Amino acid sequence: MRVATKLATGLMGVGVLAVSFKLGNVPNTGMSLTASQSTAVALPPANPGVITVTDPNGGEDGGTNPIPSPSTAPSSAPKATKSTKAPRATKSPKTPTPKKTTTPTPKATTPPANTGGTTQTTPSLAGTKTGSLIQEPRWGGYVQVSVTKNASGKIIAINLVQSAATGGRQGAFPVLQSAALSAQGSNFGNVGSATYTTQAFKQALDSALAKF
Amino acid sequence: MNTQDIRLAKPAAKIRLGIGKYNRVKRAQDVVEMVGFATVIFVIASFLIDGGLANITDIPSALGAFSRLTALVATDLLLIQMILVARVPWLDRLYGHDRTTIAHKKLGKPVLYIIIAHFLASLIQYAMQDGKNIFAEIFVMANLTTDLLLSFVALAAMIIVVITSIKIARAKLSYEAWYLVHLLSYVAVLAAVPHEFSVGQDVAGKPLQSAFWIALYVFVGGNLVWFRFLQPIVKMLQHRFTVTKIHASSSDTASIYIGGKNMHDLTAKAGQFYLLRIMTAKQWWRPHPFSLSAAPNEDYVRFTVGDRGDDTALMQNLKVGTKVMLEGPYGVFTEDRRTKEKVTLICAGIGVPPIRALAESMVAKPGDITIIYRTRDNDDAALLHELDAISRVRGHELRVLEGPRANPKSWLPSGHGNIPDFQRLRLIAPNVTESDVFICGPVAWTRTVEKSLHQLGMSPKQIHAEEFAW
Repeated sequence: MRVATKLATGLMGVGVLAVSFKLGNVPNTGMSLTASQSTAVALPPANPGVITVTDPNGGEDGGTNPIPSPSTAPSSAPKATKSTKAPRATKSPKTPTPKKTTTPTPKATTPPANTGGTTQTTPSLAGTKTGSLIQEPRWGGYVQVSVTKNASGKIIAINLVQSAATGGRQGAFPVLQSAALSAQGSNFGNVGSATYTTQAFKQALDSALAKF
Repeated sequence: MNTQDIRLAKPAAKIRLGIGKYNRVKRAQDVVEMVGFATVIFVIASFLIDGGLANITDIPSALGAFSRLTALVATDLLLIQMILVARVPWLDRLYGHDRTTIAHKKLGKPVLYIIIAHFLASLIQYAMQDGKNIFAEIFVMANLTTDLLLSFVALAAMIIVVITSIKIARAKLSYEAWYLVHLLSYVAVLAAVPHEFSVGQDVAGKPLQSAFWIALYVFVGGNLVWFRFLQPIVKMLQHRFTVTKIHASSSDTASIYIGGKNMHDLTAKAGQFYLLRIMTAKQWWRPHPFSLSAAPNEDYVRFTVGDRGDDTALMQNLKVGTKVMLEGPYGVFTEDRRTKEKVTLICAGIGVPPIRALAESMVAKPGDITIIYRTRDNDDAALLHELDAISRVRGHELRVLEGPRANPKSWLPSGHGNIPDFQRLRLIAPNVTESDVFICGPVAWTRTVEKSLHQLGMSPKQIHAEEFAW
């Protein structure tokens, strides 16, 4: 490179980096376990307090009220009403203990019970579905989530039905929940220092999404 | 040899000269380098915007941030390093094969160091968080996911590749052994990919970053696969290159003529070189670089090969009809780089072929071109008769300097008196300072010639030399 170009490029480079640093120098923009301790879980304004963290160790859940995990009352909604539009439910994970219960929220418009086997025309967009319990094989943790969608198929809440993690990794769950909410699925990056927890959470999430 | 015996290409009627040409090349180089630089800035900036530094709260998180940053920079540089040896024409036209190869070599060690820094930072970070010692943590990480295990394989491969490429190792290893080991670098790059997307925090779920990395991988991979592998095969099948004639041009050199279909489609210029692969069971995987020793024409391309032991001895005993593959043409040792009316061509020993081709095809009035040919023995100097014939036809000044070197620091044969090389050069070629100089010979010898030119006060813009660095 000629000297003038080198100077210009160098200056621009430094400028871009300085601006980037400034932009990035607000807390909680990235996803990392350590920063997550103070992370307030971003919630859609219409549904305050929907995200529940039932992890006994997870005290740092940013002010959301820990509500005991939803009832596992068997639903009347038949399993045959399988959604054809379930967004982002791409993976069908190998679930060792598939739970076949759905727990509709009060707001949810339950799809009409259709006993026919070929009912692709009645997509059950809204509702709450609980995924499988996923063991995180390395550190002895586990996670099971329930997902709530509104009538337009948007994920509005992700609840932890059961969860445990060791070594400070439980702090990853709020970060994972908010990441999954904003990604509307499991397509988001790793939470630093909680690789296995992230993988387990994604599997748990996918298994719940697969039920819509 | 008679002038009638050699076939001479007709030079172009005119050529554009002047410093504007040089400036255009420099400008294009600047653009390419700025784009390369911008990719590095982009990955660092995206890391910063993502809060890479803001998230640092303790030692493990600092290590994590360092690990992310080094990973991003190293991967970007690694891909730049790959494109440098992808033999892409758009880079070769600007820099020449030798300079891209040198840049590739220069990047080798720094990239490895950055990758090792990334590995150590992640390892210590994980170890601190798990309260384990780092050796135990290696096994924990390797068991964590297959992707991390693969990335360890990638790191090991990369270390082996760099160690076998440092100077001392290169001197002890045969080219073939080095080459086979170097193929591991493809393994290294590919094996590292999964963990970047699954364990890494900077790609998955980030549309801009995902697009950037996928585009970069596809761009580099596409260029590499097409230009380095597929295009030469396609050209070989199209042209069906075969050896058509072999002719000894001195006791230890031979000219190899290669013909085929539609030879006029080849884009080679005098001064460029091809990588020649002899398509026999034993030879096909070992390409050798050879400069054209005659300006290309519609019937053949010609190389003149010296006996350097190894495979070049075999080359001289090729059978007519042997199939060959030509990769190239490469190099910027051509008239495209000429900015002045006068030209001085300087060569020694088996550096003569491209000089011979340039002498044949450069645009010149009688007296414009001076050729200096250093030989050990005029009776056994490759292509000397041809240079002589060309000079007579075209009106070039040919100066043949015969004999052993005056001393190890001199590029000229011993003469009378104790005049320094650069002063003798001015006597031999009075026009030299106002000419473009093209030098081809052994590397150390080339350096001494360049030194003389600098002593004459000549600008680097006037000096053109190409090394067979590969």
